[in-house]
Amino acid sequence: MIKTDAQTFPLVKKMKAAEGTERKSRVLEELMTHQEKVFLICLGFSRNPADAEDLTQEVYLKALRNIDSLTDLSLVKFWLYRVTRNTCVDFSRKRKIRRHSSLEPEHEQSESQTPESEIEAREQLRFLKKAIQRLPKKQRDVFIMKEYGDLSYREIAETLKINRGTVMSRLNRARQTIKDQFKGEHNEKN
Amino acid sequence: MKKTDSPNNKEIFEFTDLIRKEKEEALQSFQKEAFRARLKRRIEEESKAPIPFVFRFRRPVIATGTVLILIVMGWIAFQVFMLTPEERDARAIEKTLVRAFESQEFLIARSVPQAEPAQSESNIHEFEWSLKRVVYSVRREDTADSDVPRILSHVLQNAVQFREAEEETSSGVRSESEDRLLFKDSDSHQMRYRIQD
Repeated sequence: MIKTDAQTFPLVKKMKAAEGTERKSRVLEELMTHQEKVFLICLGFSRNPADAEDLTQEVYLKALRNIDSLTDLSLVKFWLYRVTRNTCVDFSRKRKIRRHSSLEPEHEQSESQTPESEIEAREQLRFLKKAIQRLPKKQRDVFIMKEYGDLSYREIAETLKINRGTVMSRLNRARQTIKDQFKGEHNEKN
Repeated sequence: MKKTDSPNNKEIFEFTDLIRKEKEEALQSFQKEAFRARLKRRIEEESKAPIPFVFRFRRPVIATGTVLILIVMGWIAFQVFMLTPEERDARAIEKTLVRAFESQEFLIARSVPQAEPAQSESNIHEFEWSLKRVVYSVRREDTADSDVPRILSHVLQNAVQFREAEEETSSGVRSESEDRLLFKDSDSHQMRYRIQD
C-alpha cells in the first residue's frame, strides 16, 4: 500500500489537521452570520421560540459534523438552509410521533389570567401554526422560508434546488390555502 | 392588524402580520451571545467524547447483525454444498472399491474374459450385482468400513479360484448356470463370518 504524505510525515499530518481546524472555524464564522435567519426558519417549523432555539443549536451541530461534505464555500449559505430544513422536518416528524404516543396536550400555557385580546391572538397564532403544518410539504417549505426566513426567491430556489418559477407558484398556492383556512375558521365561528 | 377591504373578507385575519409579530417576539427572546456560548460548550463536549454517543449503541447492533448474517450464510452454504445420502453412499462405495481393487487388478482381468464380448457383458453385469450385494449386506450387518476392502478382496480371490477350478474340471464350455455370478448375499455373509473367525 502506498503511504500518503500525511501518513509518512507527522508534520504534514499536523499541518493538515491545523488547516482543517482553521477551515472549520472559518466556515463556522460564516455560518454564524446566518443564525438569525436559521432561527426564524426553525421558528416556522416549531411551535415556540424555545423549541426554535433548540433546533437552531441542532442545526449548527449537525452542520459542523458534516462540514467536510461542503466542498464549495460560496454555497455555504444554501447548504446551511438545507441542513436547517432537513433538521426541522426530522424534528416535526418526531414531535408528531411523540404527540400521538403520549397524547401530549397542545395547550400549554394558562389562559385564565391573560387579557381577552391576547387570548385571541394566541388562538389565531395556534391556528396559523396548524394551518402551516397542514400544508403540503413542498408548499410548507417554501412558505416558511419566505415568510419566516425572509429568503429571496433565488435563495429558496438554490436551497431547495428548484426553479424560481416553481418557488413562486408554490408560495402563491400556500398563501391561498392558508387564507382559505382562515376564512373557513372565521365562517365556522360566525 | 390589517383587515381586507372586501366586506366578505373583513374579518379574515391577515396572517403575514401575525407571522411578523411572532418573529419580533421570538427575536427579542433570542439572545445571540447566550446561544453562541451554549453552542461552543456543546461543540467542546462533542469533541471531547472519544466515541460518538450513537456508536455506543450501534456497536452491539453491528456485532449481532454480523453474527446473524454469518449464521444465515453458513446455513445457505450447508444447504448448497451438503451431499445427499445417495451421493454419500456412491462416494463411499467408490472409495471402498478403489481400495479393494488396488491389489486385485489382475484378478479382474482374469475373471472377465476379454475375447467373448457378449459373455463378458453379462459377467460385468453379474459382477456389479455381486458387489452391490456385498455392499448392501455390509450396510445391513453394520460392518466397519475398514473391513469392507478386506472382505471384497477375499471374495474376489475366492471367485478367481472358483473359476479356475471350474475351468480345470469342465471341458472349457461353461453352462449358463455357471456363468451366473458367484456371490450372493449368503455367500458374502459366509465369507465375512469366515474372515472374522
